[in-house]
Amino acid sequence: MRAGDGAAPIDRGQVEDFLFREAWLLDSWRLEEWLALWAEDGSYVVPTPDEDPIDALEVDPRTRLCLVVDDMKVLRSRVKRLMDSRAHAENPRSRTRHLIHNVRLVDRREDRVDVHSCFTVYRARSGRVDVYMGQYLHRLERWAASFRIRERRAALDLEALSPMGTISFIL
Amino acid sequence: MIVDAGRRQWIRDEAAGGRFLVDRTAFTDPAVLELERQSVFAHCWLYVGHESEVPEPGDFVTRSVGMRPIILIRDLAGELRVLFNACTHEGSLVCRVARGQARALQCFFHGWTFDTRGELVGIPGSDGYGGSFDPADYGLRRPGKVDSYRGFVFMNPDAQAPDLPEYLGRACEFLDLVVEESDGGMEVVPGSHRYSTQANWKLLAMNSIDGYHVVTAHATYLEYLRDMGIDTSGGWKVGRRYDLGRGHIAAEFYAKWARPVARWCSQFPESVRPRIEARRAELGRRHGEERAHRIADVDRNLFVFPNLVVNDHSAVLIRTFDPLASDRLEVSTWALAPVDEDPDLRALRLANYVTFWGPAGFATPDDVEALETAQRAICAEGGGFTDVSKGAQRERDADRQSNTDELQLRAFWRAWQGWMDTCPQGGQA
Repeated sequence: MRAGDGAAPIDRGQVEDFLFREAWLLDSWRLEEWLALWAEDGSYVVPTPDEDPIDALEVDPRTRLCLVVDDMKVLRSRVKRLMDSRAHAENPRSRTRHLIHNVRLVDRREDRVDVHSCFTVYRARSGRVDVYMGQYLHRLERWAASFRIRERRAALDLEALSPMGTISFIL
Repeated sequence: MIVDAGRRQWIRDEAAGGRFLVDRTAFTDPAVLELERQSVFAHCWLYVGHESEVPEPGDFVTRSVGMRPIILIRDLAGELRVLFNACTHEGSLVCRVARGQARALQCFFHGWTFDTRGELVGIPGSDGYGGSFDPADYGLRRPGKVDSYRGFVFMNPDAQAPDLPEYLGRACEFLDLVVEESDGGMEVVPGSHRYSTQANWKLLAMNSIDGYHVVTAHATYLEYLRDMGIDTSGGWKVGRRYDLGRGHIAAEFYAKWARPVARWCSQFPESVRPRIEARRAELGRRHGEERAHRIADVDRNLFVFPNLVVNDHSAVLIRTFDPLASDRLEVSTWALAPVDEDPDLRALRLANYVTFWGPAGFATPDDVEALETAQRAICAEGGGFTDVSKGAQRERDADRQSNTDELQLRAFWRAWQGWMDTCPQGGQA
């Protein structure tokens, strides 16, 4: 299977490798490399927990209050901020571990695929361990020997950001 | 600190001489929270919600206000009501969902049923009741007073409290400036931010009205604004701070970010500029230039004691916060926006809101870090004082004040101490 070979369908192993590598980049704070995974018109959305989890991934951030509504310009600023020692909420940095499971390929096309998965992110900081859990939607398109991200959504199953008060890292 | 027999003072007000101190046990002592429950949260007007959250008969939302679970409901006749969300039988929560639509409210436990006014209209096995038992006595309980000011709904547990307009006083002026941004009225955008913070609620009250921390705590947010092409040099042009009495505070200032109500800047796409300029011109025609300037061109922060913030910057925020414990609070925030707002402006407004005020944005997490580390460290000394002396000697000289002075914080604490002084036990803790 070579890069851009349209004859070979996108398979689960490739997608999971991509998601697991993305998680590793986030957990090791290799955020510039993580930005390189994105398409130029990418979008990162995190709805609020008061959305019903059944509908959360469909929320329209233009009409409903969300937690994150980043186009690439804002996403780059987010990464720049997180790498700045004056981002006090992440200095010292959270220790995170992004776990990805229940990966399902939905709407698989020749050159792109939507991926639904579950996440559990553990975060240790300031004497506390917080758990963020929910579901991801990744809209991926083939790129070079791998993929790039067109859209990334993370919908929390929590009812509120409690006991953790914030999402100060990349979920 | 005991000043005279039975009267406890947590503040040392020597502002004229340059110092104002707050006893740090105000943030840590559970007995203080109990006194606040009996005074501040039993006799002040507390923000419940916005009328637009329950637009149709039968609409309701549930939440905690002043540490009490309530239902905000529009009854079937269209009247707004606030009911305590506790069954009059054995106290279960009657409404166990965050929002919905109902023709009646039924407690799941024994089936007692209340209408949308809170009246008890159904008791299974009602033949077991008689004599002095009268269902009319068993309606869902209500706060002493409920009232609404231009869409903002408040409750006061105390039926003898002054009326809402009297309590708000000059805060009304600043609510008016927000509401008048839109001829068709303002509405809460669907969705809310609900997050907790491991800190005493008064640390957030101070943080909400403080300008001193912006340059340092929010250095990266200011950097982000510069990256978006917004001029932040020299900080915001100094505006005015207002001590509105009763612990209410307002501040006006002149930032350079875009305001969807009527100020375009390069932060927004060029395509929306004509729409924003048209809105600004319309405001001028409707209100006259002087008032339109105040509505459209000026940013403002409003604090209504004890726990309501309304901020009007590049979006409009409503924030309220409740104590959960001495060292824990929960915040709820909503975005307020013009009804029938242009969809592109609405989208830009929400993105701005989320990036600044949201708990996953570029500013609020640093505030939460500050408050939580303060709560952890405040007990280090086993006592000690928090200092809010900045600008103390120029409190009465508006021309010499700085927007980083702590005048507003001293007004908050003076009002708070006044409420502590009303406690029946004489403030003993």
